[in-house]
Amino acid sequence: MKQDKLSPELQGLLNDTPILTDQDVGELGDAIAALDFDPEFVADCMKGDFVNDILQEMSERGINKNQLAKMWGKSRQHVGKILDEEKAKNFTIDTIVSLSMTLGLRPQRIKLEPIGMEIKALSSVTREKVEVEALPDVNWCEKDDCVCALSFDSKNTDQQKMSFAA
Amino acid sequence: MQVKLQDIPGLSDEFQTAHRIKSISLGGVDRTRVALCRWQRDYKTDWKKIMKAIRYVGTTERKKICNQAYVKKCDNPKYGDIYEFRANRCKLRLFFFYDPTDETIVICTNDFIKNDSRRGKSGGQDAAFALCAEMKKLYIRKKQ
Repeated sequence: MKQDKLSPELQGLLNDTPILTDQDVGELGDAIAALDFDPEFVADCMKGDFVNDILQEMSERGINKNQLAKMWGKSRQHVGKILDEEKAKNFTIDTIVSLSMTLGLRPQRIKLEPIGMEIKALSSVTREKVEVEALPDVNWCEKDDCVCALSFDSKNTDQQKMSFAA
Repeated sequence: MQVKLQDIPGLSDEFQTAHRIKSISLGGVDRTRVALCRWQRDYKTDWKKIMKAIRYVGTTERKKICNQAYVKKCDNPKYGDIYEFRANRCKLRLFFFYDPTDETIVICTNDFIKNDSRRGKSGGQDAAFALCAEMKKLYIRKKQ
């Protein structure tokens, strides 16, 4: 078989990179899945979605920030701050509605959904872990080839975590 | 060398409606997932920003991706169509390309930390783009 010829830089990068363990992958998966329960992250994403929609609308209509500022009756700096989520401190619902309507758009109402009932695949939870560790406050059930564990956060009973493992 | 695509663990389908986000593994070495693991531990705030950028691309059609705060195409034409996940006031970068035969697949390749003293003189951001371009070529060759 023909040997792949890699540049010394790529070969060096691969040599310097540790091999991931299943535990590493499991922890990363859990950390990423947990972002859905992080209020700050969820709020940031919602701001981001709004900004992206506004930028997309501006792009499609060929409107720049100066023109938007004029249409909105605000300064160019104010528009810049709103469109830069990192700087936007006064990102209120009033701002969202006002800016949207400047572009002839109306934001739809925010939908609320229970956060705990969504099934999350947590790769670090295995049937063995559930059985062997007999995790406290974990109920589990089995159906077909899946085991399903339902746990409640002891500090926040409103927050439930459902995980499954094949 | 074995070239495989891996899922980003924990990234649900809800955030991959427009693009499937994958990491490339070369000979069992998966630079992207190693970086995400390390960033999650050592650079939590910036890691969250990169995860937000990944969600943005995962849920946005390619032609509608216009927020350069999250995604930037490489300026250097010699590397072709390669991109970076980024964020404002964030020192982390994650490089990627679109699968040329299926543009709904985004393939993350390697990482970069701006102003990282451990990196030394070699390996600036341009070198990181070059590595991404090399991995893209390798992926395409293996796929043929």
